[in-house]
Amino acid sequence: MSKVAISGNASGTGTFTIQAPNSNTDRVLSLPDEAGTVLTSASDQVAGPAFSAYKSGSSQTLTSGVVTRITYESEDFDTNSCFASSTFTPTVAGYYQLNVLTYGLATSGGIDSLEIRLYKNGGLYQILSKIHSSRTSGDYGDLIASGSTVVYSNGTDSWEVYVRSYAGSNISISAGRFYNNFNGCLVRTA
Amino acid sequence: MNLYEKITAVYPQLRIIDFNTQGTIELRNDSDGNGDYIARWEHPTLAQPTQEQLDAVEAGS
Repeated sequence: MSKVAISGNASGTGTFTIQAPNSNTDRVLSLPDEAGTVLTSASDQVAGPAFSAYKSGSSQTLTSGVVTRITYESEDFDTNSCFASSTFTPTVAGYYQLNVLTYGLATSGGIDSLEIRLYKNGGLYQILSKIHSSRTSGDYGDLIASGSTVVYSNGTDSWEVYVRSYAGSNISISAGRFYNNFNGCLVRTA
Repeated sequence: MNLYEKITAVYPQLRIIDFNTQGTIELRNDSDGNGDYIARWEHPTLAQPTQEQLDAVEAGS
């Protein structure tokens, strides 16, 4: 017969209490047959960072051909306050899924391409997406692109979105959650 | 006149591929109020234009 042993720590002074909820039902909590540390609701793996930001207020104007940092002025959620100034800084080391949606509009001259870039600590890390249109000069045109990736990040890395577009005029990056957003979450800790 | 237009006025032989994803020139804007700038210039034969050259293009336009 296997046994359950609960042992204290000779160095500590705190008292750990296993407490039952207010319930009239008998239940069995099964321990996993493996070594490891029990997760709680406060563990990074469970309560790690998740954020969702989007462009709001005014649209952002990009010059054709210029790799431009996208600004996100509003958040739907930012569980660990890791997103500020359009930059995601995880604070918890681990593997993160990051997703970007970008909509670009050229009001004259058509739009040729839209490219989403992910920057880490100020340098290009990945090109998430690049799409082209069949541009006709003089056309009013728009493109929408999305990209996702899973990255490893330490707690202090900074992650930003840059976009480059070629068009016959300046490109407008429109405000609105449904047009331009940047979101992500911890997939697993390091 | 934007930076791309100024550069291609100095070097008309440049093509859009030189500025493209795998191109040797990258123009960037960090949205910090400082405007467009040349972040990378690795063209094999053409030297990065000086600010004076770029200003002269605008003055002459």
